[in-house]
Amino acid sequence: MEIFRTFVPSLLAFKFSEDEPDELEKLFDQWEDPFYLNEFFEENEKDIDISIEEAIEKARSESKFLRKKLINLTASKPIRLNELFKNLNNYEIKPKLLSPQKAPNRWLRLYAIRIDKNVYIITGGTIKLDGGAIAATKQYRMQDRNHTNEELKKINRCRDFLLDEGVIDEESLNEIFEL
Amino acid sequence: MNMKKIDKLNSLISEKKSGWLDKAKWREENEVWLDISFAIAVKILGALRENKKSNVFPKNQKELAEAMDCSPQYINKVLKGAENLQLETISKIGNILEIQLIEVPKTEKIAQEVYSPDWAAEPINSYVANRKQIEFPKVKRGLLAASLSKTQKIEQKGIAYTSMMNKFTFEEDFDNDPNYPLKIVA
Repeated sequence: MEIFRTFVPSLLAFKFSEDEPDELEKLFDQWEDPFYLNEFFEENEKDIDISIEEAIEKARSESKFLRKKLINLTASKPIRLNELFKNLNNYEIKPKLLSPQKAPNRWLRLYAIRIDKNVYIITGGTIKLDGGAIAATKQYRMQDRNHTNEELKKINRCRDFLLDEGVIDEESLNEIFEL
Repeated sequence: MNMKKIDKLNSLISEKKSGWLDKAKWREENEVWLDISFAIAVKILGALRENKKSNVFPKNQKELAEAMDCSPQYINKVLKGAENLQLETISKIGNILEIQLIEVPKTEKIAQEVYSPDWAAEPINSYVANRKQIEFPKVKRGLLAASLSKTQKIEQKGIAYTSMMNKFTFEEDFDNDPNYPLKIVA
């Protein structure tokens, strides 16, 4: 497990495997890859209310939006990462009641652990779907789907690693953020 | 965050840097063709999915590579939207999967004239229908061209295309041209 600096010094990212890039780079590679997205939406077709082609387009558009947002961040001074990330507050870890949607939700998520006021380490991210079978259950937990549950496990692994290394302490345990 | 923790963190940070920014900038700079390449890949993947459902060849990237007579690795690159495709390749894939992958809008003025209701009723159409060899009209850079045999052209000399003549003049130079091109110039 390694930690890489990203495009701004206060935003770091975990790298879990020798053969793969760090989590930030890997996620955007996946989100810009039609083959990956096609497989993902074929596997999770029950959780979308639109066609697979439309879902791929939506994910790609969101990826472009996030990419531009992050690129713009490099030009801003001071860099305010805390305006970008919002606290998960465990609301996704515990069951979350789904209210009727007023506007389409963003699907793409980056997860990060905050280790100081403006220092974040990205642990991973995912495509968090909110239609079809998920909408029908009226509540959503990250444990309910394999891909989101995997992200939960990664967050916990990273948190344990940082605890063991003495970078964070018990007080930081709820400092999980998403973008 | 106290100094001790900062030092701990710094000791864990790799000297290597994320490649995200370089890739992000490259994607911004190449956005136009990457968008087209992405859209083509999505359409191919959709066609392969439909073929798989109805068990029609080619139904996966391996079979598409077979049909294309290329490597599965190349098809994988195409399906990842990372290949700057040649028009020939796009057309070949489109023909194999029987889908249209790319469309360039026709010049509107000429397209409107050629497909206008006035034209549809012209005697030229019945003339064309009776002579299978004739391809008419073909639109090329604002020029209408018909390939006719010498006999057909000679026959045609006596035919009055009244309303056609309102729009075009004939360039009858077939006597000097071995291919007997008949050009109708707007």
